[in-house]
Amino acid sequence: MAKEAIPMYRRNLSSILVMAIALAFGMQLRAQSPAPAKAADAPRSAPKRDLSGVWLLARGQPGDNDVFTTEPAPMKPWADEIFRYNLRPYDDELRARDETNPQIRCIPYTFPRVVIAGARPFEILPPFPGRVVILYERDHWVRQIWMDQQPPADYPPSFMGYSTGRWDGDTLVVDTIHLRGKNNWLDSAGHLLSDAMHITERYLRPAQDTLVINYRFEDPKVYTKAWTGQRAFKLQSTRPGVPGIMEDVMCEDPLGKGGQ
Amino acid sequence: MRNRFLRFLIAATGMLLLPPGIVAQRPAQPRTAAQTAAPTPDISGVWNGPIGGGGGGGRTGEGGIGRRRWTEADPPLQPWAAAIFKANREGVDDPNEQGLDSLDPNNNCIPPGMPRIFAVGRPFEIVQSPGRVHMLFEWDHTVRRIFTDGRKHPEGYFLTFMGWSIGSWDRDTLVVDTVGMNEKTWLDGLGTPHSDELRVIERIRRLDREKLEIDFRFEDPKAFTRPWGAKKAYELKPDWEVLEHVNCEDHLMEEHLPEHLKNLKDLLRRVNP
Repeated sequence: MAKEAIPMYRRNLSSILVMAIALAFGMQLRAQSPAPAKAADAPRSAPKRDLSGVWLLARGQPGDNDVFTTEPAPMKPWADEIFRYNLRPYDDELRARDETNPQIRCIPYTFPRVVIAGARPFEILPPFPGRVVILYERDHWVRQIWMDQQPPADYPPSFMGYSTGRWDGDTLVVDTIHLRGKNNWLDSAGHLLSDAMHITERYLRPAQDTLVINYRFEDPKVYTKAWTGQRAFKLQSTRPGVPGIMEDVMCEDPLGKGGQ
Repeated sequence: MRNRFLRFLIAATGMLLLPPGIVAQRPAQPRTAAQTAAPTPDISGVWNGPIGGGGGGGRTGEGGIGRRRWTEADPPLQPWAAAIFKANREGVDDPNEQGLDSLDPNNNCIPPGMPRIFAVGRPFEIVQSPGRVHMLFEWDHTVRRIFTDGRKHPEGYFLTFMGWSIGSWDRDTLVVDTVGMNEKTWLDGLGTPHSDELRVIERIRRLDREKLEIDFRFEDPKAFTRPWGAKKAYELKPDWEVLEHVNCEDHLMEEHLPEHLKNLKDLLRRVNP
């Protein structure tokens, strides 16, 4: 495998190509597939306690797909210095430099960066007892949320962490711990997280086609106090020709070129 | 590679530490309107294998062939494919042994893809939803989506590692038809090549509560001289959950991470001289 970093332009080029192919075939597919039976366009109320569907980051949110909030996070001084370095080349855009970006080096996306990075869709599977399963297109990540259970006190840190959930009325509340924070980023701007990170998400579906996730980040090793963020997502049931989410393999370009 | 067993131990230890509530959890049973109308066979749960008689190493079937082999005989390959198969196994004497590491895509961080994912010897979970069956494989957190809503294969869809799968129920059997797999993978651990015309037909059914059988049929007129296939069996692991696994994690952490860490160290020196 290539030891050098993957040039950013090549990544961009490959994603443009993928998108172009997807669009081209998507249109063809739409013309060929039998038209799905579609309910009337009248606004429908959101189903209760059912978040299933394919969701894509809504456009035009401050900070776009790079951060969960544009408000400054209450970082400890050392974390703030690293963050400001990560950010420096693009101060005004909240984008980070490649050389310290773990994912440029094929290190897998961690939750929660996987949710927003590159604005790739994710699919929440239809409800079934005991669990909520989320499939992220980015690097085909799978996240399991174990309902109405206590997380294990001790668990090996992992890229998705250990998530437990419960319903608070019609809001899904999810707590995630045991994240592999070391050498990973919280978002694409270069905010840090540690293995002490505790993320609480509140999933609301105010309308049939809208999902809002409120985030609370608590990580006493990196931040001076808990802070919050919010991202909104739109239902993608009519994404033309695309089977919900597509296959994505991390660093497929350098791998596929057979580099050792 | 040397860390793989260690990681497995850590993961296994992690599982042992799970509270009994989690361990005791049953595989999820999807409740759908379709099911109440006409019961769909239930193949959901965490399955591990391939299993079978004949001793260790995941050997399966009458003759105790290894999990890497689909059949005791070598695959029926077209001349060009036979030449590649031979090269992939140059110097390998044991017919159950894996092909050469240097040529094995999976050993070089390329996903195993379909159908080799069923022969890597890691568990997978089947999740049934209305119109879909998902298979969540532990190996590299691979996801497979099988449409059971009556749609056909799309034309002109790009090639992927897992291909495009549609399925339908034939009494107790889920019949899955998969096309659109890229040529970057081996069909098995032996080193059997295939082309992008590969088509895999699976007949998946529960032999009993504990056992799942998959009858694979491989068609690839470019690479094979005739359709061929094999049966593999998997056993239910009601108290398992599919753990997190990242393909090439060791490699990433040992080769890419040090460079990343070096950059971070440089950074710390700069911001904190």
